[in-house]
Amino acid sequence: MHELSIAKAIVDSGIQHVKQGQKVLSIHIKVGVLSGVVKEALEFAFPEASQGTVFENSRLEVEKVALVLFCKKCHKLTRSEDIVILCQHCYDTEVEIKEGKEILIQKMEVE
Amino acid sequence: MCGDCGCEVANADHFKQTIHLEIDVLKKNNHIAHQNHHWFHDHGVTAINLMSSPGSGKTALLERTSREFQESAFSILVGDQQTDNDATRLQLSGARVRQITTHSSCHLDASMIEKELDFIKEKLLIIENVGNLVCPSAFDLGESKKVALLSTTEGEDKPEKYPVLFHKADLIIITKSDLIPYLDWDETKCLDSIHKVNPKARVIKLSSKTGEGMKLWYDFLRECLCV
Repeated sequence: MHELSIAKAIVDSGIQHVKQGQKVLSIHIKVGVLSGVVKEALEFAFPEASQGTVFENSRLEVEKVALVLFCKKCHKLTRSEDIVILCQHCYDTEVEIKEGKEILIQKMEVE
Repeated sequence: MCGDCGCEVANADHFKQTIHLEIDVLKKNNHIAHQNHHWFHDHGVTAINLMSSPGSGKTALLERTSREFQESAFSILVGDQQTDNDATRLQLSGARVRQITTHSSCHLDASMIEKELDFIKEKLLIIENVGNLVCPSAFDLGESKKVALLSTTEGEDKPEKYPVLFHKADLIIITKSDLIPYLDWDETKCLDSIHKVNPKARVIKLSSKTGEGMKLWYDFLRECLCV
């Protein structure tokens, strides 16, 4: 359940971008399948982590990001919800991970 | 009336605003990990992060390594949620070890290692992470190499079930090879599972009990020390 640590890190990082007197209405997070973060666990942990902060009662929106691989051999992209490090076009393993590792705060709505 | 939302508060300043950020949530941990990495480099320390499920044989591997590995003395930082049982075991085998008790946390993070840098005197540091196949993989510590352990008793398909940790490993050690004759464990299936999530992983198989394959682990440590 490291999602509580992740939720606390979201609050710590996001809080620096909120001006005095502002309240956060929603926060949009992108989590890649290779990040090891479970969407439901993060949603469960966030209210606890945000208690007593400007994020309290804000809406957490978690967007899952699929794994996107670039094949160095056939130069095609493979998109997958599963973690299989293999080009699905030519079945080569010489691939570069383009997306899927991230845990990003993409945007916040404040008032 | 307020011009933003029509509420009764005159000249209220509560209009909604969207702030676009693209901030890495683990930026703080990664920053400390980066500092740790520089500290290791500046002090000539090779740091290895051992990760696996509980009971896969991390402590047993380090006990035998403490007794047998002659090329370099090493310090051990061992993480557990509670107790210093592992540190006590390792001290009995002659290792210089410090326990990090993480309490509610299911993983070590970079700040926990940063607090223990003064303890590290040897050229090799082995970090025994909290036994957990999910959480430790998200937190870089500043290590030079990540090593994942997978015991034969856990079955062959753990890498596919817990892909993130095995994907990130530089070395995957299959432990408890002495038990293979008593298990329905299929080495080919296990290697297939590993290579699906980490096609380039270096894999070794060993038994900390009988000593089979330990040489391959020591070879890896020697290579890490030479870099």
